[in-house]
Amino acid sequence: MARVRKDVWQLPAGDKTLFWYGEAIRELQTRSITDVTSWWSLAAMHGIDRQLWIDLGYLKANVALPFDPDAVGFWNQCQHGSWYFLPWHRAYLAAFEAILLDVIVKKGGPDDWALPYWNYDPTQPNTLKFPTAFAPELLDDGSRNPLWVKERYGRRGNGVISIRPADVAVSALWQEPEFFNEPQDLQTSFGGTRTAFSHGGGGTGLLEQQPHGPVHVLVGGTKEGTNPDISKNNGLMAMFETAGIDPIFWLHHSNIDRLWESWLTVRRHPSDPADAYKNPTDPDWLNEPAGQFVMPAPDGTTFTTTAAKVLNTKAPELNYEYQDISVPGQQQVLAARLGRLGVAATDAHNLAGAMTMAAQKSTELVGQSSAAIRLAASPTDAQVQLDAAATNKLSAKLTSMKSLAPTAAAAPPDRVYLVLENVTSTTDAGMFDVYVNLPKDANPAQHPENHAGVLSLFGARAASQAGGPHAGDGLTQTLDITDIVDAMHLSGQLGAQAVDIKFVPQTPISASSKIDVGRVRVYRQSR
Amino acid sequence: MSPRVPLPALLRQASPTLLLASLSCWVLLAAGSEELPSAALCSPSPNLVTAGAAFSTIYGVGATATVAALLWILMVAAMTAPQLAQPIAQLRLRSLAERRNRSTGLFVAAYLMVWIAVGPILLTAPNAVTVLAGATGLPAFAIAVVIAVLWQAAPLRQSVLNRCHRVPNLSAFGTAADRDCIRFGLTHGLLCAAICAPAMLLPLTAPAFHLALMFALSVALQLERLAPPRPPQWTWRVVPGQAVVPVLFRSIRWSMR
Repeated sequence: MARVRKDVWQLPAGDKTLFWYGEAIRELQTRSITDVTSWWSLAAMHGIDRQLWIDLGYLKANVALPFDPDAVGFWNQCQHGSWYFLPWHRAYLAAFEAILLDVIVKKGGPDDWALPYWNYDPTQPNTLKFPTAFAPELLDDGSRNPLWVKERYGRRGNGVISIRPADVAVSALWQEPEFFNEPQDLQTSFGGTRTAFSHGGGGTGLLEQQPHGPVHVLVGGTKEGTNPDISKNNGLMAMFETAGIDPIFWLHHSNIDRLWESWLTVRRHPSDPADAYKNPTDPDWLNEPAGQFVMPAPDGTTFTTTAAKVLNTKAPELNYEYQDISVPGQQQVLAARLGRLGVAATDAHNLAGAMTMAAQKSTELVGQSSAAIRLAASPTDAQVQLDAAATNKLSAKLTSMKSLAPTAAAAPPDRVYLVLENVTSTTDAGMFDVYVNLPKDANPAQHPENHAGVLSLFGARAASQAGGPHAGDGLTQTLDITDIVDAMHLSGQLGAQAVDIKFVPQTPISASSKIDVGRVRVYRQSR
Repeated sequence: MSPRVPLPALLRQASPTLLLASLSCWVLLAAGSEELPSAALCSPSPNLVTAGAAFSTIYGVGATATVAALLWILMVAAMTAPQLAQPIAQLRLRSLAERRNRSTGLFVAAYLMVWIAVGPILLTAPNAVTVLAGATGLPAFAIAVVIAVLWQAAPLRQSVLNRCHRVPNLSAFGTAADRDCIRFGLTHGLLCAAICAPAMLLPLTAPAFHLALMFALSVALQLERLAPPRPPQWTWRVVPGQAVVPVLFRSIRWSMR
């Protein structure tokens, strides 16, 4: 029987999972950073900034480090903005879990211990609260709580961690059948852009964009009244270089890994490609020729592994499964959409079933902002100018749906994306709500139907550096605005020459921060 | 949906059209060099005009500078066309559908303009190397190797290379869109020239092997272009693309399993 990774919010009374997690943390934190099984080296594998760790008190200045803290290697190995994001983090979590299990068993704990997960389920508001056991500084016996760190500042910087359903929306994940997208195409896939090299930094997938990024930022945050451009003012979770130090990091990524398992169970739609909701079979992904993932073993040695070796979580090397990977509310989204576009309710279901994928994915630019947009502490407005020809084609395509015969093997209606490109920033700890065509002077919070999604800056600082793997291009965030555009089409607003975009900050933004969205583009895509 | 053939990811970044264009240019160059053992273009010539003159004497072509310029463009196209696959794909994704070909045309024209402009400088550089060779008593080719290796190891070259990976910031509409495509082509041409020019001294100072060296160099530079950006610092990686070869090899091996 595989060990079961349990939902931290559903642990029964008296359950010892978190007690043993804490015991293992205590032990691993006594080990020196020079030991690859120490808490510190495990965190440094995700990322390390020597001076920042010293400033925060997690590293002594006189310690001789076993690896170059500035180089990408065994440390700073984490894979973001790439189709290796999910398999690398799975291998990383599995190695972490094996080391903890070894410690727990040696301390007399259960040999079926498994890392729990924090399922911030947008449909269950109670689960969005910060897991209780991680919050207090001291335990009942007055000893320090090993699950606690002080650098968790939350959304407003006052230490209150509040997450809204919109921050962790997952429904878009179940609508995206492709695991990866090509580097010359939009970043619309579930798992990230196919990058030739591990650190190619091509682009984030939907899961990495949300809920992964926002949870990092909303737990970490920035200390109230301080400048988020100065790294030591930010919470550990908000930055690659410190995230792994916070015990909640591992439960967060356990959930991201669980969402991957959930995605694989999503029911394929007839119009989806043959490889819909499946892992890539590409040898480059499976075997990572540019440099396999290097992981530590409990005995202090290291080993290499690949995506191919971590696909089956129940295999003896990983030996775990999740308590629950069900996907709630898998509705007939396509049929519902056809209904909104004017197809008779009785026909919409048949038509959705008869639709087939287009012979070739086609992506077309529909509109673009004219200049870079500097985001500020107050809401920032921007405009995307639309191309009349492209908008007309989109409108015609949407209109044509209602005249299709119910058995027509047509391609599904175009999807529309808002692409925020070249997002560069002097801080990682920032998040914005993005609205499309909000009525004038409206209170954004009262218009969820115009909410396109969130822009999180997790990883933006590194992506803004010219010598880094992103070549200084910054982050790209792709928001699916199909439903918003459908509504515009139906209300006759799609003929307008421009759409309005509003960025509403969800975290404190300092006046000195330089947060720029290089371009905002609107694309339509048929597939 | 794009077709998914089991090719190594690295090779899938290439564009078949551009590879074919490049190959055609290589065939033309090879055919030309067979008939013209001391290839006028690649042997040190005082300038383009005399290079063209040498060519036209043998072929009896009246035009001189024009022929030389055309030969030069042929050579540039052969060597650099495959490297334009990524920037052109990026450009097309960011252009309105009806402007895609226009954008690509403007980009390519601007890119070639840069190479036509740097041609005379590059073709007279071997003379400077020869003068240096005379002064130091070292073979000209050895001096070219030292210059190329030093440049290859330099952090400045890496930062120029990193800039090649940046996605273009292009306007979508009107003259601003045209202007940005031209600017992108000029920038890309300058970056390419800065990255490649010192290495091009090698074929220019070894006339006997010029074509083979040029071909090897263009393959190496193409591979190097596929590697991701990295922090600019002095490096021992002095063969262009050397980091990519083992990856490519492993990738091909796995694909064939």
